[in-house]
Amino acid sequence: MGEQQVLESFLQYGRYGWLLMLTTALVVAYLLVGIVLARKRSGAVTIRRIPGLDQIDEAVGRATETARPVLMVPGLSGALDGIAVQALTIFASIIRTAARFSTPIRLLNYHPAVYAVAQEIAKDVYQTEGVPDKYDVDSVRFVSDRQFAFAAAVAGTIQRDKVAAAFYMGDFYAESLIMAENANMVGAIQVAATTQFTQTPFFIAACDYVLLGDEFYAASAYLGREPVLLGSLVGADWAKLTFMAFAVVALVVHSIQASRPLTDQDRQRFEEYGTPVLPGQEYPQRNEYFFNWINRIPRG
Amino acid sequence: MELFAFTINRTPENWATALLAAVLVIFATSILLFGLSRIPSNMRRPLVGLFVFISGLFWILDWALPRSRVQEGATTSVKTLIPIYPYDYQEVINVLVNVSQVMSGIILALGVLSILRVHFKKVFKGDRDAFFSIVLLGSMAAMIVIGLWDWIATNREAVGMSTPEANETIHTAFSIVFLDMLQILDAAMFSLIAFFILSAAYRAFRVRSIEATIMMAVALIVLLGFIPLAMALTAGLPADGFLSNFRIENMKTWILLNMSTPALRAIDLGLGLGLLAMALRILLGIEKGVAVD
Amino acid sequence: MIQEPQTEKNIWQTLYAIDRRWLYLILIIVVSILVVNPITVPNVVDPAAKSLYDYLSGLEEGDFVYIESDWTNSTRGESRGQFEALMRLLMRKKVRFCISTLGDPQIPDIIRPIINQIAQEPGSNNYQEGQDWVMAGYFPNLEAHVSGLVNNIRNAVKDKQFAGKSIVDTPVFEGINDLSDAKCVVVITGSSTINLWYERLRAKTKLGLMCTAVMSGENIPYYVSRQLVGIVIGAKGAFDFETLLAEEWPADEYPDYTNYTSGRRYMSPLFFALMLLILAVVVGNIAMIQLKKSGGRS
Repeated sequence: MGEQQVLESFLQYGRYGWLLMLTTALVVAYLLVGIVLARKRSGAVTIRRIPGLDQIDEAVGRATETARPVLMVPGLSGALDGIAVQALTIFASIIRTAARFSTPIRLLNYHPAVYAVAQEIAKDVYQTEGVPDKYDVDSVRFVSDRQFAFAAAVAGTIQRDKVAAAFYMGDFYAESLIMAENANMVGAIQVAATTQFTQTPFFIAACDYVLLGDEFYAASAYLGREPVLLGSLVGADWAKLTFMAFAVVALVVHSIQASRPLTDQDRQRFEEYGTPVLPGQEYPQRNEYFFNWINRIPRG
Repeated sequence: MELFAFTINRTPENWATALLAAVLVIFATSILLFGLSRIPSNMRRPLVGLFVFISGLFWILDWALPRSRVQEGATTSVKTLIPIYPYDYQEVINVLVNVSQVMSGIILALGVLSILRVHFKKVFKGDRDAFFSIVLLGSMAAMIVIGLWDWIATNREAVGMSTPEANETIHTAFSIVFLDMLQILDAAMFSLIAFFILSAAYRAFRVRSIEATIMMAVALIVLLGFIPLAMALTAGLPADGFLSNFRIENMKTWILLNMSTPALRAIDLGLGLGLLAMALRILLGIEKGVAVD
Repeated sequence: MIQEPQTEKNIWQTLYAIDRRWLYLILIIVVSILVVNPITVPNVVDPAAKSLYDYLSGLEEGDFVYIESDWTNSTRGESRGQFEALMRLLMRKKVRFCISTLGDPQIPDIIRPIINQIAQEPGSNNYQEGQDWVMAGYFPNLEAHVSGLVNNIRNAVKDKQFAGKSIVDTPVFEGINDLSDAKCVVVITGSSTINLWYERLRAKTKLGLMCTAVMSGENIPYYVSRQLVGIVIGAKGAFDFETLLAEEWPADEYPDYTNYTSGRRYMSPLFFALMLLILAVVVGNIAMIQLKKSGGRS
């Protein structure tokens, strides 16, 4: 190693960085406290109804009546990440219902690691339900790790097998509508939850039930009512309340700042932080009007 | 680091070293796997938990350990310096990243096995969709062969073949299969979305309730805000002053920035918190879902 | 498809539930006609696109920009126009650039011919690979690549070669020792690879984004918070960039084809498709209201 000279240290703690670190530490603390408290007094927490999850039994029931399969897609996660694990956790309870009614399932995977875990989970669920012989190895499949090849395969499965219910949970991108519209064509009941919120509108347009935002993460707590899961939900809610309070304080401070024009000192500070004020990005003058105003504020 | 020289200089001697290393790694892994399979089942969960915790810890440290901007000669770089450890912590992470990539490569074999099992079964059973399975298996084989062959042809030196030899035929085949077919088929699938958006919007945007009516009105303003013909409708309004607020493009921008953006931020925040909670539970081994039991 | 009993339908019942295949047919006819015979439509440039254009246009000769091109043919309709306009702007301004790609190994093979073609156009200063720009190529590991670039740009791309030597030894990388020496990082993407840059980019380097229209929703918050210097959205964004190019380099010196390509070409199909969508929604609603009035199905 050559001669090293340290120019600047604690880089990610400098500027606004400490705020991020502090916020993260705070949220983690909330979550841990939430979990510990919920373990002590279990049963004290209730969750509001999530209609999409209440529909699982009905959707699977309909599949049973028509002897058509239930489709599950755990999203297009690039690895076995938290999102995929959450999706599989929800699917485990769907598979459990399907196993009880002997309803055929199709669990199509985009990533081989997710596929491997999904297969184990499905096998496990059938075993704990006491019907290991009902489990078909080919019902949990790896399809393709190429986005549109995957979409085509899922659409093909939907059309060929005429699925009666479809559950999309996890990371979805442009393929969301291809799957959802195909399932709509064959008259399937559809429930979707995605962490890619740009896809949420597409699912809302094409599916029967959509879990919005963090309802996806609340799902396992909702289905399982485990104290640990409920506790972390409570912790996350506290964090949200803190952020709301912060937003209110920031609103007041920002409004006071915005009511005066930018000084050279402000400009210098923005420049220093790497966000120089470009023309048209300044705080509004008093003689500017409502919509025009607000269009400019965010950039200033 | 001499041991890993073969990763940089791909000469035949180094290939021999690489082969030896590969055999050793496979041997060591087999022993490890055998050892793991002998562990009593009540010990497995804590062991897996410990492994998960340590793996996660590497990434937390990567995020939290203070970084420094370091100058060496003319170049400046960002390093994570640790007092007693003479290397940059980033190097540890790079090794881990490579390990995880190799592992996902290995896991891909599981996926390929699944594909082969499902489709060979269909072919041999004479399923009514067997024809599609034959097409799939054939295309898969062709893509693998052409892809590998082209890689070897263009990286002759890298794989230790001393005589560089241009192979036009295989490169043309590669272009046809990957660029002219696969990419175009991707584009074709993507373009289907245009049709699905039309039918989904036609079906879903109905004024069945007050909420649906508000949503539709807002959606129409935003859509019209993208269409020049619609913009021309309100182009008569002044560009400045109070009335300018009612120009359709200004209304669109206002809706996007001040209604849609805050809502998306709120959803994003909730998702972030949910993921953090999930990650924390997995890391600490207290996740109660079926997935890790 | 579930077949309904064949009873006589009145016009409102038909319009209430038009068979989706009719909608598809109308859409394909409208779009095909307009793709082949585009109508030139007027443009009102989006301020977010102008913001990125103005910043890049203000760069000086010899400045360096790092480009991350993550689009494939699937999003060609939107991304290609954006990419072409960006290349034209940088070449005309004589700004050096390095391109890397994440997401798909075929991207370099798709974009290299485009760059070479634009380099031959009048005004493009006969840009040469290895001299004025370099291709760092495909990186399979997204996270490691972006953090590597942020930590040590030369180290991150030094294994990539042009004409037998490392790209960091070409004139393109002269004086570039840190990512903060680059004036801007521009990400052109059809997927969510931009998130890595939000998470990792700590230097003072500006970040610009050219994304598909679908992705605008999740990325506008970062423009609003000024983490992005500008955001070019979809085919309309490409058209905005082309319009701005044509304003800066007027048609008398620069033939129209050098300023306007797919951005303007795809505008009229896009607008008419949007109008068709609005029409379909309006017709469906009128039919529903009429049916409600007459006490029919709703």
